[in-house]
Amino acid sequence: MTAAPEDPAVRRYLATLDRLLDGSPERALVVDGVAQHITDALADGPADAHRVRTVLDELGDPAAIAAEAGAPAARPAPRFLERRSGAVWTVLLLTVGNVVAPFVAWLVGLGFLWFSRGWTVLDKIVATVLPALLAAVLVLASGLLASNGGGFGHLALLAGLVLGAVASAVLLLVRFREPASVPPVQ
Amino acid sequence: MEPDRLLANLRKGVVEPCVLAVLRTREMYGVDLARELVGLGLLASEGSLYPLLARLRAAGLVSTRWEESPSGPPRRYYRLTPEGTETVHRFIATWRPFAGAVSTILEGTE
Repeated sequence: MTAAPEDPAVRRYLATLDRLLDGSPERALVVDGVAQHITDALADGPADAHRVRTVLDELGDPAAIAAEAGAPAARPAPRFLERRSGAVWTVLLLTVGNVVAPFVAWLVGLGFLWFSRGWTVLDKIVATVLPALLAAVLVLASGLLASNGGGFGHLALLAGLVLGAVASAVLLLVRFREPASVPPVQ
Repeated sequence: MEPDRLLANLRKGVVEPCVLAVLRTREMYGVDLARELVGLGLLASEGSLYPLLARLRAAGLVSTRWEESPSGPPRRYYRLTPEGTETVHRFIATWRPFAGAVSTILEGTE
């Protein structure tokens, strides 16, 4: 680490830069490089307030340097539910999870679905009601067949729920979009 | 698109190879390198050089060494590694036909 001139404005500038780079893997190298730059730029003359201000002005806004470093403060990572892995977990809970832990996994999956910003409201509504809707249609069809001598009541209910869950899963996986991140500070 | 935003987007893809290209002929210390790139309009401010240098160092394309300075404290010099030199050559081989294609299109629309 290079000792930058002990000027209050320089110390403030470097402290701001260091804080803005919190979480960046390049934090130490960037702060060290900028501190060295200030030392070198002031080396061949008196470090008076006017020259210090000129050097800091030419370095530019610390926020612009942090943005160039891609610091997470300027570009937050998407939350778990907004990432693709979160979407896959939601779908697994609504399908496979519902077989392993019936109803409980489905409720948790619905919670994930409705809290995520990765789908539109229409996607969420369709994915929520599709299994029940298909089951109802098939049970109704089965009832009509029963009146004609056929019929497959329980099987129709099960087939509707399974088909509906699979259709919802495909819909959710196709329609998932990671929400746009906040643009970096320029 | 606003002119500033357009220029910032154009710089993004080429500024790292340009830093390497400037270092191809001679090693430099940070202040000179930053001033040259700002003077050429490739960097918006001198400070934004340092995240680029940090990335290039982490990627093994640039290395540093200390040298005594006649006028003050020792200076850190930046220079290309063999991988950095190879990256510059690859960039030149890609850039020339690309830039040529863009120029051809622009001349055709004037």
